[in-house]
Parts: sequence; C-alpha cells; structure tokens
Amino acid sequence: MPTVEISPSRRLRRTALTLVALVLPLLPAAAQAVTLQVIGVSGANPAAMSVGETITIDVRVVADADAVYGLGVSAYGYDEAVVDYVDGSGLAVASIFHAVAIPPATALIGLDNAIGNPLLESVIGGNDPRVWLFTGTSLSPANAQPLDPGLDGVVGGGDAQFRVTFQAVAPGATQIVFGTGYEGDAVVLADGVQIQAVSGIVAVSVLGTTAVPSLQGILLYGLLPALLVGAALAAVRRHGELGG
Amino acid sequence: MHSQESLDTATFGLPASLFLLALLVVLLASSQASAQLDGDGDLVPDSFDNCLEIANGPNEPSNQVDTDLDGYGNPCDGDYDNSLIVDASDYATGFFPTLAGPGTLTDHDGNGIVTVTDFSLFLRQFSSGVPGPSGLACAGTIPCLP
Repeated sequence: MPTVEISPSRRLRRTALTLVALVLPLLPAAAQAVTLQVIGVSGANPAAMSVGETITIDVRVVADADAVYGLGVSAYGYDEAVVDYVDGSGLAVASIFHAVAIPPATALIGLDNAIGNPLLESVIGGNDPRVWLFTGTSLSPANAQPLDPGLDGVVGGGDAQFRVTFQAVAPGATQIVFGTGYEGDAVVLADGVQIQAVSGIVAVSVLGTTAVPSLQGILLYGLLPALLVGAALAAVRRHGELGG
Repeated sequence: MHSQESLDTATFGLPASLFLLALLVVLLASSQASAQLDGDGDLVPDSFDNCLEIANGPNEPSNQVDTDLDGYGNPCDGDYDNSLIVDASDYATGFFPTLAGPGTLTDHDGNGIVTVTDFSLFLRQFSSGVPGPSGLACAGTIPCLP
C-alpha cells in the first residue's frame, strides 16, 4: 500500500484547522444580548454644565433575539460631588418587552418590572448610590422588540422607557452609566448564566462658575489692598496735619 | 543469617518496622487530604460545606448561612417550601414576591436585597430540579445541624 508523504507546513496547517474546528463550538454564541441605548439628552449641555443646571436623559432597552430570563439595570457610576440625582421615572406600563404590545410571531412573552415609580436612589452594601431602573425575572424567556411601549405607553412608539434627571452641584467631570454593572444587576440567560449588557454612557462636565470667583478675586486681591493702602495714606496725612 | 537480613530489608531496602511506620504516615496524610477537599474553593472543606458548588465561605456574605436549617446553604437552596424539589411553585410563591425587596431564603448571595443575581442562582437549581448539592450527610432533614 503506497504511503503519502505530508510536508511539515501542510501538517501544521492541518493541525491548526483541527484546533480551530474543536475550539469554535466552545466559544459563546452571543456576547451581549441587551443594550442600554441613550436616545436623548435634554436640558443643559452635558459637556458644559453650570452649577444648578439639570440634564434629563432618556434611555431605552434594546436586545437581539436571545432569550432573556432576568434583567437588572441601574444608572450608576456618577460622582455625587459633581451631579446629584433629582427625579426619574420608568415604564408607564407595568412591564418591559412588549407586555402591552401584540408581539410578532417570533417574539417571546414579557418581563415584569419590580421597580415602581418614581425611581429612587438606593444602595447595596458599601457601594455608591445608584438609581435602580429595572429588575425583572421570568421562568419563561423574554426578548425586547422594537414594538415595546415606552413611557407614553404607545405600542411601537420607540420612545424612552426610562427618564432620569440629574443636577450639577459642583465643578468637575463624571459619567453616568446605564447598564448592568452595579451589584445585583445582570442579564440572566438560560440555566442562570449571567452576562453584562452593553452600557449607555453620558459624560458630564460641570464648569466652574467663572464670574463669581473673579469678582471675589478683584475684591480680595485688588480692591481690598487698594482700600488698605488708601486708608494708610489717609492716616499718615492726618498724622502729618496734626503734627504740623 | 542471610535469610534474617533479607527479611529485615525485604521492603525497598528498609527495615520492616521503618517501612510500616512510613506506610502509616502516608495513609494518615492521604486521609487528611481527602477530608480537606474544597471543590468550590471557599475555604470550607467539602464534608462540612452546605453548598458544594457555590462559594459560600468566610469571604462571602452568605457564609454557610442556612436559614431553614435543611442542610442546604442559602446560595444553593431554591427549595423554599422544603419539598426537596425546586419547581415553579418555589418561584411563584417564594422568589417572585420578594424581588427587589429584602429577602431571607431568596437573598441567595446574602447582600441584603433580592436581585436578578439571586434569580440566576435560583434558575440554576430550577434547571436541575433539586437543591444543593450539599456536603452534609443530614441535608434534606430539618433540622440538619452539622
């Protein structure tokens, strides 16, 4: 029986292809099933806020066709020394993922939200505060659809499902993250597998209120010494008049 | 003379008494090692660990907590009604009403609030249909006090 010689490079290529074929099925099929999408920012310019100004951020959950069994979402990561949470609301309807809409044939059932309105800041353990937007679980799989109603309750409106307002409290920079990274939040898939959603992030910059400090500077470092010098000169003159 | 010497050094060139002593030491060491197995790496030996596959040792808030004393630690005990089955009724009457609030049995990770990460622990057990596994021999009987 004739034997076929295989060159070393060909053997190497064959080994590499075999390895790839073995490893590919082990890779996760979908890295992220859920995305938190910032669909609008109103009020002040988040890149140049002044102290006291507010911004209102609209957020919507979008997902691919993957089946979701649980979802926990928060607004977190913000520096409370820079911005402070003012107010917020979530889902005018009781649940997300087309609980009101008539789902298309490919859609699964809805996922109820256990968080009521108005949205509140809360804390787990020693973590920083967050605004808890959504937490929902189901033994049956759910998935988001474009038809999912938002705050206006209209099916297919595509509007925000969560709306939060923050106020600038002091100069500085921070970011508000909408996602599943806070303790206790996650996207839960079949068999309890947890993954992270793709976050929506709003960068905020609060500028120093330049007018007030410069006025203070004039008073402290310009006007005040001038007044003192003037008073001293007047005293010297008065002393001279009395002496002379 | 020769036969006596061969008897004394019959085992790997060691005197028989020394060989027996070494054997005893090896046996003791191996039994100690098996008693100290810690599959989930939570610093609690498996034979004392009420959750064998989920870390619930001294470095976790859920440190061996077993609220209903059934021998299954809270992180791996989705059987809230102690029927020895984790099913939809445990979810409907046990887990779901406590979501986003403080829980006792349903706060599987012991962080003080019931979240979707607790749900993921429940769902793991729901998929398998049973609580645990626990390393305690008395698991499933109340009270199971190791």
